Amino acid sequence: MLWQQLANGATMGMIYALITLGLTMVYGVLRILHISHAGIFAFGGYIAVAASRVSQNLALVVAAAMLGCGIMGVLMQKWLYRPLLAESKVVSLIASIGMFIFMEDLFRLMAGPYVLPLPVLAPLGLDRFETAHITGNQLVVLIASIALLIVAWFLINRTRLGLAWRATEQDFETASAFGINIDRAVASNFFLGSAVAGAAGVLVGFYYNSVYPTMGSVPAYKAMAIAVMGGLGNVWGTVIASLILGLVETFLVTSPLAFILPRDSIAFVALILVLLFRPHGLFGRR
Amino acid sequence: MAETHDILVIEHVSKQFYGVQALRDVSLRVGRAMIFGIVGPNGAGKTTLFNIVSGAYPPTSGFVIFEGKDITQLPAAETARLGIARTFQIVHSFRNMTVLDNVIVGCGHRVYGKVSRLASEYKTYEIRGKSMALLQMVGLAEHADTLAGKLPIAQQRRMEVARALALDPKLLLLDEPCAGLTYGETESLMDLVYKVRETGVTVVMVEHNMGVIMNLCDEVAVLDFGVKIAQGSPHEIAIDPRVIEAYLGKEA
Amino acid sequence: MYYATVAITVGIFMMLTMGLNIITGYTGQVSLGHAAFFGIGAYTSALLSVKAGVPFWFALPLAGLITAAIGAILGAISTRLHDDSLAITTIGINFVVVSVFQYTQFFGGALGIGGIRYPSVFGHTLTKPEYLLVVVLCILLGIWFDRRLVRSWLGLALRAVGQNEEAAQSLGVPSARFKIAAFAIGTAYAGVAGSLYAHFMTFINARDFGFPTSISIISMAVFGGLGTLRGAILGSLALGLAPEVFRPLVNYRNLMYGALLVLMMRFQPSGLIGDGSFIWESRQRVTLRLYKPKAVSGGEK
Repeated sequence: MLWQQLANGATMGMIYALITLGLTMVYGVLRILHISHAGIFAFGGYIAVAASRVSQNLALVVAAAMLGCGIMGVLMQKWLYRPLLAESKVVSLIASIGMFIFMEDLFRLMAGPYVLPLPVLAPLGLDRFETAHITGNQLVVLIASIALLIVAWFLINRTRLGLAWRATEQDFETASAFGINIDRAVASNFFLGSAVAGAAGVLVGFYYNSVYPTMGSVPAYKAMAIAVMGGLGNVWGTVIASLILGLVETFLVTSPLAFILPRDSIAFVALILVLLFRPHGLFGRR
Repeated sequence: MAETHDILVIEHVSKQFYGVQALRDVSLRVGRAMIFGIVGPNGAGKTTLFNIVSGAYPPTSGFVIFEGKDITQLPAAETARLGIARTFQIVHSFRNMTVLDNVIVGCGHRVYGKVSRLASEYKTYEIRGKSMALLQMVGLAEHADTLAGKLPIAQQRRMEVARALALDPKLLLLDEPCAGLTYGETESLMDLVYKVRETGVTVVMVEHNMGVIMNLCDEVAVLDFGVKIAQGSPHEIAIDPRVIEAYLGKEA
Repeated sequence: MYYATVAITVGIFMMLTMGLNIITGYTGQVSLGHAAFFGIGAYTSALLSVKAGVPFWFALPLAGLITAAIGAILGAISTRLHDDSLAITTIGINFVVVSVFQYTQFFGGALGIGGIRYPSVFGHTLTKPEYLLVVVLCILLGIWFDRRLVRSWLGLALRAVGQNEEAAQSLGVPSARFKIAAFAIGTAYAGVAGSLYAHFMTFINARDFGFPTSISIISMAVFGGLGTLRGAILGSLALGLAPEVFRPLVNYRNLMYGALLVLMMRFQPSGLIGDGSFIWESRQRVTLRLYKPKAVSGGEK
């Protein structure tokens, strides 16, 4: 029972981490609250549904969704956010919320309001590897998300690209004085963040075997809460906050406290508690 | 004697930001009604020192004494009401307010603490007159009704000076007032600083332009990597070997 | 009757938007949880009416005051936070307030509160057009207060904090206290709106005050032109009426709503008639053209 709970909690935590990673990366570079990130997450799920008609291999489907979502993210950054950087922050926030509403409704109109199944199989038959403590699906989600996070970590900390992002985080002027191509740094940042969100969309669709238009709604705002808890722009803080939240949610929901705290408000109660004592988040600086 | 003479005393002030030592044991005394310059290479901690004096944040250790009163822990709004006014290195105007309203915000320092007066109208005959006089002094009277954000930077800097003077300050902190100004604009800003001092206000300025410092300041302190390395008249400073080394070392 | 219902709903949103404009527009504190205060006002008024038998005319101002008090407390918390964390925390406040309403028996739980009395004067229960008149009076009061605020030291200080907090502090404005004041005033508007809503619907449910409602309110403020009263009024009119106008296209309503927000922000970030928007700038150019020629010809003589 305890092991099952741990497995459930850790799986949710890793999924939260994948969704929030892109959000916090984008925040780090552009300082905007990218609500429509959750639209990209749902878009990943729909690409997977379409791709599953061609191939049932989860790895290929994830790759397709990552590519599609990455491109979507770059388009959004170039068309929507770049012209709004000089404006007050509410402007890009409202634009982002509008875009999210638009995307959700577009999915509903194009694919119908119902829940679609996502019939894919993990490579190497991993999803059939089942024990008393952990289901095959959980194992697949855990392995895939840990692999993605490691790749992201490598890109951020060990490549010239990551260096460019971190320099851009400090400030645009200095970064461009050091010969960094800001445009390319921001675009690649959006590409990676959105691709990871797309992968999260597929994994969630696979885990629950369902893809539907509003699947981004709850993660959208929960991911914001996690990002702030972890310290906006702080990648590792985000991962740790996600794991903690996934576990806390799983344990609280089955505890006697569940009737006071519905699952989806736990994140926000935690957020408010954290911010009361640490206004810059658990792992925030400044 | 020295105690009453000095308007601002900074004693052993240090400041750390997440492991970075921005200021290390800096002590300074600024005499009444002088123009005091602070110079040093980029990142020497000049703006940090201003922020500590004006109360934007407290120092990690040390004291700031203004007119014999310990103001080390006071927040910015309080130091402003005691008579410390400042301008910013990057202009901090209220962009969507008129130039006149920008100045009037400074005139309200006696009102903001009194709930009973907050509801009254701010644009009274008296307040408008005082603010217009200040705008006249900095040469912006004809732009009084322009939105501040639409003025060129040089004029916004002058507006910030007028706004700071609206506090009726005893001490005015100018953070790189000449940055980004043309030669002519710099000249007229220097005239303005003189005029301000004539009214009995002490001026402390951070400035990169050595010409301005040499012409304007009565006394200069030099910071390098958060440490005060020299203090004296502009001419003493100009020949001080440590100062030359700090500057040349940076250039090379 | 249909028109009265639409007009009352739009009017209630106008109150909400004017309140949010004081918090977010003037004082620069982005609140994405304004609907929580709408809900607090509605529940306060409903409970006063149903449980304590307080008549509408007393419940209305009381709802405004109590909501303002709670708004001030949350405002005090918010002074510890900076812009983006604040925005997200206000989302959190919205979610938490809704769950409290939804999961507490005292607030009627998932069923909400019903049987709230429609207001009456000397035994005569108000008709819808008469209720509309009450709403309009509240709005006029709100507009008067807003104009008064903008001309006062308080309003000046709020705008100073909103446009540059650091500069405001350097000029002697204790910004934290003024932010709390802004939250109190802005949420008072929401409390009144909530009371108007509760007594009009006679039945309320926590879901009415959820995060999507907050999004509608802030969209209205930004769409019209954040930081201006005229923007708040026009924005709530335009977006409040949009669903009615687009009724034949009901299936595409959200799609168009989203597209409208995106396009507006992308091409007119100052809103429909905010400072710096195309319409407002043109209007000012026209006024200048009408007044300038005389001055110029006078100068030439």
